Amino acid sequence: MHPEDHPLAAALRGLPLPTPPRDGWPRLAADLTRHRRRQRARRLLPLAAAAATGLFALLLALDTQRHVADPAAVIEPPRVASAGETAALDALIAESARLETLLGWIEADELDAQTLAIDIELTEQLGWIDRLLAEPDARPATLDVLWQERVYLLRQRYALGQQALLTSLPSTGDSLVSL
Amino acid sequence: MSHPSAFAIDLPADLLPGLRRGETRAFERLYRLFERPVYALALRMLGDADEAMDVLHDTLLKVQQGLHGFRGDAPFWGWLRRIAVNEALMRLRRRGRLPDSAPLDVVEIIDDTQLAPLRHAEAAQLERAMTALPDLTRSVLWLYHGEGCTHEEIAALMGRTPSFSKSQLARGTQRLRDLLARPLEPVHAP
Repeated sequence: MHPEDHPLAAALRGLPLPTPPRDGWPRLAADLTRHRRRQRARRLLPLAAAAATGLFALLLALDTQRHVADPAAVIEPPRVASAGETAALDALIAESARLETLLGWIEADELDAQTLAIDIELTEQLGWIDRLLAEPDARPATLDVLWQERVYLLRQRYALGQQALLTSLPSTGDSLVSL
Repeated sequence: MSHPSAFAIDLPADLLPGLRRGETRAFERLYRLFERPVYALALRMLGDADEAMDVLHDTLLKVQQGLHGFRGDAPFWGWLRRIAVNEALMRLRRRGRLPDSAPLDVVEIIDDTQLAPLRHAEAAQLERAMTALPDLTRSVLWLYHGEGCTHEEIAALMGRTPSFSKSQLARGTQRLRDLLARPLEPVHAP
């Protein structure tokens, strides 16, 4: 006898389908997002490492070129940044801090898959910039490039977050803080 | 008339591509389609609502993780059901109610086609009788009769032989008949 024709099969399949006691979707959605973020990060890690290594090599090459072109720099003590350069660097650092604060305000609870992927990429790149900034021997010119890059990446993240927030909000006509 | 497995749901054509792209909305649609069949299967096998909810959660997570491995040459629901059954069996193993080396074929195999049809039982009585069965026996009974799995499929899922599945089915059917033949105790309010 085919199992489906068995009277017990008919009786069991005729039992009412129980309903879950609570909605499990919110918990699942959070875990799915976390898992996708981890998966994406694992996939991007080698690329990010390669990109950062390339950037670091480029910065070193630029720095070396400057010193080779200027033989005096070899025997001179490390050049101290001028007041103008220091002010420019301070402005970049302040801008970076301002953007970090803004990002904290607009962080969306849930991003769609594409936005999330871009955000993860930007965050990874920021991580590598921060590691390079933590190098004790970074020269002023290198620091300047790195802080410019950091501000650029933070602006990208802010624009992305702003866009995600706007699409998740009901249309009220209010505008968000613009840069 | 026999009812098909509650899992036998065909996916809308646009759902699988959305799932493959990792779209959250596609996963929510999948969740809404299968939450009751997965929950029901897990509840029948485990007899515990909280654990059944965990199986539902873990099954959908595994679907996301293993989606690249779904080739599409068999129905999606069958693939998802297999994951759900594995999740429920894993929990039974953790409880120690699905021993890795249970004695095989301890029950004489009964040709249950020779048995008289079950007497009519109200749904609640049948539910309660099922709950009274040992977890392993109940799981085999449900997979065979409720889900329409073959003994070979059950054996593969449980890592046992088809004879083991047959003996558990015979044991469960007989026990269920005994339970339904005698008056059941009244249900007490909690």
